Amino acid sequence: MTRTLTQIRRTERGPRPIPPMGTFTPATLPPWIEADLPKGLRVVLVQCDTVPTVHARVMVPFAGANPRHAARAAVLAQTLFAGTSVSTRNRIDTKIALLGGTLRATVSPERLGIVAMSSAKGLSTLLDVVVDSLTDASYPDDEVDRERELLVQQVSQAQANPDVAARAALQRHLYGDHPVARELPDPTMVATIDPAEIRGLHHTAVSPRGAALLLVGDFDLDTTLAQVQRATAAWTSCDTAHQLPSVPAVTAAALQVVNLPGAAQSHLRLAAPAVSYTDPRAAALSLAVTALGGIFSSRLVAVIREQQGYCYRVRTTREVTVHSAGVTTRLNLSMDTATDNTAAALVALRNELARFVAKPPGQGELDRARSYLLGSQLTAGRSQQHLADQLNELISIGLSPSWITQEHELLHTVTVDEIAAVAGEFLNPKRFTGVLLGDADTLAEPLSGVGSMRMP
Amino acid sequence: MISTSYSRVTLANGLRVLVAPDNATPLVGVSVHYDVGFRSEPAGRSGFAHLFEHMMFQGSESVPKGEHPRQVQTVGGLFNGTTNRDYTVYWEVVPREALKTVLFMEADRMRAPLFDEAALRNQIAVVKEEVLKTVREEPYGRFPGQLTSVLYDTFPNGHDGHGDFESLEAATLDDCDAFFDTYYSPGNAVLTVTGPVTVADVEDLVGWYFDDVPARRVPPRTRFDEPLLTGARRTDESGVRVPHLGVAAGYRMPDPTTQTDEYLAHVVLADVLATGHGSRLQRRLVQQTIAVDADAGPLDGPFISRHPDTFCVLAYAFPEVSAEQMLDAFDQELSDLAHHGPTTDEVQKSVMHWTTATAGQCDDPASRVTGLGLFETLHGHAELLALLPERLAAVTPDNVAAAATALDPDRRAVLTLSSAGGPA
Repeated sequence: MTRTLTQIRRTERGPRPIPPMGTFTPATLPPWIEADLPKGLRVVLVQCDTVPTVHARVMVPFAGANPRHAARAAVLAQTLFAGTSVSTRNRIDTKIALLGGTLRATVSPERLGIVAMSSAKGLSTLLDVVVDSLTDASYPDDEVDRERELLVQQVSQAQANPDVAARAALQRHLYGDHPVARELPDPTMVATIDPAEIRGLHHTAVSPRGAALLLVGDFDLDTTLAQVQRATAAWTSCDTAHQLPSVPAVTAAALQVVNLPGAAQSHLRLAAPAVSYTDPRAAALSLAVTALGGIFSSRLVAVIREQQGYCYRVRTTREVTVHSAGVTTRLNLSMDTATDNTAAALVALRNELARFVAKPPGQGELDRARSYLLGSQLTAGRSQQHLADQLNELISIGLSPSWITQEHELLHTVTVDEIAAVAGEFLNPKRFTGVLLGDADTLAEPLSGVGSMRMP
Repeated sequence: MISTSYSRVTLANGLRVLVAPDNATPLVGVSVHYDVGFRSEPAGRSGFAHLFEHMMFQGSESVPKGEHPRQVQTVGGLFNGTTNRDYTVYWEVVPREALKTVLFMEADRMRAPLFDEAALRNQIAVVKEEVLKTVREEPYGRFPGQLTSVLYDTFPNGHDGHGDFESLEAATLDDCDAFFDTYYSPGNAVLTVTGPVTVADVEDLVGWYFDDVPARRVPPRTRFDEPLLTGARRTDESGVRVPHLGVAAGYRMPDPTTQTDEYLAHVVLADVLATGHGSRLQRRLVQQTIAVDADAGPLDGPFISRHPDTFCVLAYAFPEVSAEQMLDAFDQELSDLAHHGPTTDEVQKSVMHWTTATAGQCDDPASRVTGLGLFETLHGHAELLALLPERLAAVTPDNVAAAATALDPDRRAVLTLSSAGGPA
């Protein structure tokens, strides 16, 4: 008794009106406090007692101009929790595991990060473990030797991933030898790092001055602030945490094809200069980027994916880099498409950018983008962990958690004329540069008719 | 303590509705689990269940193509669909004020989805791009998923859900029609609603929107069980740009639904083997720079599939290390655990791991609503999601030893993946 398609597609009653979405209340933060401690550490505490856990983030500006810096920083992050003068790595691991906790260090050209979590009851132990390592990590020789070897292998594993390779190619294309481009260390250099170098780097660069600690979870604000003050009192340094040397703005240039022999898919990574969150045009630009390719119901997804089937994912994002001369903001646009579709997809993408400038969003599209951004603050902070990530991102680029509510006001006043103006100024396809990682031999002929392109 | 006070009601058309109120969040979660996954797709149509999931986003009688994401995203909402071995789920997380709209749209596509040729061709192209991106161009895209092709003999158990391109391209509107009619009846689905709602309000709305979804035959549950292997098996594969030799061993597991206690002992065993720096395989393989990484556990995650489920132990080898060295290490650790059991600390770490992980899963409306619906659909027991830590706390070292004993090296399947051009 299988029904026919016609029977499935139609009901006797026919189409019904979609009930309208109600008006929602934009996000407000749970109770929170911030404090600047005497040693220069910024502390942000957010009380969110939805479940009995706590999430911690530490952010330390951690740039370096030395050519060995990326390798040193990576080994340091890998061994930060590998022992102190009074505890071994296995004791640290066991302590955290018995709290149901997790603890890891991350590193980027800009900063050293700690991402940790535990049961709410474990907060004071977690804090102690984190601070003990920040103040007293000993980088035992055997731990450093082993982790260095592991790191070499992990880097080669990461580099085999086309996403990682495309990102690295884009950073090199945009910034050349600038330290901001060294997101993954050079494995051969990692192999030459010795423990003394790591201890030296820790001593000069793991500094509370310029760093931030964020806690989100089930705890009392005042008690916890006092606890954080006590726990971090020993973390001192004469040095200030290190910021990147000034990062240049992205400049327009031809798209560089980077060869990935045998690739069945091409990985397009574009970038264009943008303005920081505090610029008067920032809210309009956020809305424009959302309508262009920030969400599934955006123009790029509707056309490139849902009409033309050229990709699974196409997306625009904004990326902020903090450095000694302030912040540099850029737009990223990424798309992966089968080798055979590459030329057509690239043309379609450039056409959509041009169309966005020529025919920018009208009131309806603007209102939907605005409503999305307001509502997305609620969904972005939907759990302790998500809230911690959302706020850590703000704190890392120098904004306060209260930015979430400040942004409401800014978004509300944007007009269609302002959207049109930022579209013309920032989203013209000629402003984008970037890389296309793919099989250059196969792509050479189809791409020969596509302009503004450099083959390897 | 995470609430396990849920309400259940079944509509006249067979749709099961689970409501889990939670006033700590301004967001509602809605999910619809259909009791069909890629294990049920027809032979010669590998990847079809996933392609069909994409077709469910191509509009329905009252919701034109593109309108579903537009509605959900207009309030900043999240949505997605995923196709798993034994179920397919569609979900949304939105501010509570959008609950009506989301329920309406889920009902509309359960009642009258729109399939047309242009949309089908478009989504075949999109799914091919997705498979290229997430599977074929990823050095370990199919690893260790392909392990099932070694451990099982039947098509349902032995294939993965990505599909080959020929099968995808061969899909027709008639296939969509038949698949929808067979597997997407309301009686074969579970609707779950979480968040700041009352049971009465949700049941009113659900009645209003879903009552006239016509009842249809519910397909009888297929039993996919097959005999255990009578000897060990091994397949060696190679791939492009594979940086390290991957070695995966697959073993049969107890039935998660009917042998839950034994299954739980395997979940603890997985943690003892490979969760955290202090776990057995991390110490034996990673800390000795024999493996770059190691992992263990049910192939799709605990309780994510019905029987037969697969326990997988895997590691990525350092250059010059052989598959045999890896397998010996697996065997020695399992043998040690079978004979001596884990320490009480090892078991306690696993319980604590799941205590905080479960709290995290219940804290996020997206994982909470999909998790509750999954446990209800596959195991008839939504409460188990929040009770998992408590149930794991009852697992003893002896239970874990028994689980390790059950992982028989003479009845296991091994899959290795190396670089096509020799060592990377």
